Amino acid sequence: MSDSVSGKVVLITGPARGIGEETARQLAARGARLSLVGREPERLAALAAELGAGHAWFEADVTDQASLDRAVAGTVEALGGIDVVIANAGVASNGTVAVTPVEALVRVIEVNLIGVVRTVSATLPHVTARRGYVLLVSSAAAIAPMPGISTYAASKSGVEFFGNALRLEVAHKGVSVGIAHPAWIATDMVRDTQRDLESFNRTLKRLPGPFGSMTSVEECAAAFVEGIEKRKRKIYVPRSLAPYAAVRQIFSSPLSERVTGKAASRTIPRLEAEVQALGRSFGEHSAEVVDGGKSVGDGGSGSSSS
Amino acid sequence: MAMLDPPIRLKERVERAVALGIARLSGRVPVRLSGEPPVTADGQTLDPHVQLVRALRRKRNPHGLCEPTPEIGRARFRRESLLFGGPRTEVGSVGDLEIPGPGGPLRVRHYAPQFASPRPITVYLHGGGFVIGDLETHDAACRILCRDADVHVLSVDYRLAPEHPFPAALEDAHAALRWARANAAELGGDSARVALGGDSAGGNLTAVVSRLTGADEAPFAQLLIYPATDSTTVRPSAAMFGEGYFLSPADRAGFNHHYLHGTGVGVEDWRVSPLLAPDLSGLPPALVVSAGFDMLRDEGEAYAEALRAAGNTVRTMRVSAHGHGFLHMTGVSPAARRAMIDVAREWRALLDGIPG
Repeated sequence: MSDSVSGKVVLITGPARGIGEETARQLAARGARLSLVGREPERLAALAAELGAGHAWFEADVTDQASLDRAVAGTVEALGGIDVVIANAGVASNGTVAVTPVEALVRVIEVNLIGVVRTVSATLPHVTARRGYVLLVSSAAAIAPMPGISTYAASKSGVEFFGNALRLEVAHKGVSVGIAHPAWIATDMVRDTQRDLESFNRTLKRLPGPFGSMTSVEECAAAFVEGIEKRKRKIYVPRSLAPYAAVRQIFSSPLSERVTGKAASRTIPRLEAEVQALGRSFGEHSAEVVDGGKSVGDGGSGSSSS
Repeated sequence: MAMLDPPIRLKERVERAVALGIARLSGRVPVRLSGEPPVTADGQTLDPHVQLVRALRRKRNPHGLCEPTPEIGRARFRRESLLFGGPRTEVGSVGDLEIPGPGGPLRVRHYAPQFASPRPITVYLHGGGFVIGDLETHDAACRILCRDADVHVLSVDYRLAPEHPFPAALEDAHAALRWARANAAELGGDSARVALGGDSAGGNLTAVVSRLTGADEAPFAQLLIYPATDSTTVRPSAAMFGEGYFLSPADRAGFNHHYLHGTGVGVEDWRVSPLLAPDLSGLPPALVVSAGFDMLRDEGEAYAEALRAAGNTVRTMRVSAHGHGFLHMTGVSPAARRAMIDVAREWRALLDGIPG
């Protein structure tokens, strides 16, 4: 059964870039009314202007409950209620536990997991009132752990289990919960890593199937839109991830660890050296760097077009 | 493996290890090791790794780029590029082939991207003042261009001066462009999107060929990386960055001498200084990349402005923390590698934005 999003109010966190931005565009194109909630207010304003009349934006940090509550109140006032929530805001840090400052490691969990909990808590009464749909963005990282993404994988795994429990809690009230598992999507988050860490590029070439391939952000957004309209409980991008999810225990088995262990002993020292030389824990376009007032660290390059 | 002179081999191994080590330094360490305060000029700050390499090079190498002879200059350039280029960027496949050229068979190196469907082709002309440079000196940069712009790259081993002065390089470039278009399908590329690009002297050749070709033969787009566009005028960047930044006015004069001596063509000819061309309208869309600490910076940016003023589509990009030749430093300066990746991505964005 398919429920068109036309006329529905969709609140999405993290729509300034990447998956959030493209999903907002595609939803708006199908008649949804968007509430864009996130950091980088200039980008939010520009996106809202691009989408046209009937949409709203609010500056908020998902780790700051007060700012979230204000954004939700503002959404209800401007757009009447909330039918769909997409808890999409997320960050990724570079490097292994050994070479990443603990605050960066913790920040990933704050934004990706605790931020999702806060988002759901703030919006659930409204979504319940409309028997709506909650979409939580987990990741392929919750299916297969890899060196260099420890707290990212932990946070996304947490989101998945949080979602599974939540689903049981709200089913009888008519609310559906979906969990998305995107693998590598061509966004600033991934491009920044490809640019910062050559070891990442080498590793990517060696991974099997959906773990080693890149999907366009347009395709990912289209899968999200379809999932929302069909109130799916699981969204895999690319679809070929689904069978791996079904047998995911294999990735944490001693056999799998022995296979990846040899490559890891060579790539991890390289990765750690690159991260230490980089001197920053988040990608150049991450809100943690752009918004947080931290210096980017290298000479940078500027570009313009006519 | 033949018995190589042991002291040289050991020296090279040590140098390569040093280069790798330099890349791994972070924060203020490279600047402190260079023995001088952070280099700033014209509102820009030099990349710390480049600052260190510059300080080391100054101590070891008093010669100009094509001195004492072009042959020695070529060997030195080759050696340094391998030293500073870093670990190989993997692409789909790399293969050398020979194509017909006006001066005999022309060697080209084909870099193919990983995935199958027809990608744009970029015919690439290496830099080196028309005198030095070859397929090896620009191998690292071509690999990054292939992978990060997701295009086929055809690097051309065009004839060099003084053995083959003007216009041999231009003729070879033009022939390669024609051949690439005719054989795009065999290469796995898109015959409707065959572009031309190059750095420094290669950028000069690209700009000139883009204007020499008729409308039906013109490249799909032009990539000009710190191009030489005007040898007649000394601009502020040439005065500021002429000493100690890889390329000097003396180098340039030497290169132009080898390129033009005995040909009857002077530097004021637009085919040597394309900025002086009377009419720059109707040219292919261009990406012009300039480097902050480069003596050629101002003439490259002036050329971009002139193209824009003539109604062409132009994207510009200034890599402010680096100097001339940054695409050879990708192994020793992580920021240089990131800059080259950015160039590739901007190039792809330009190609994608061209209608038809």
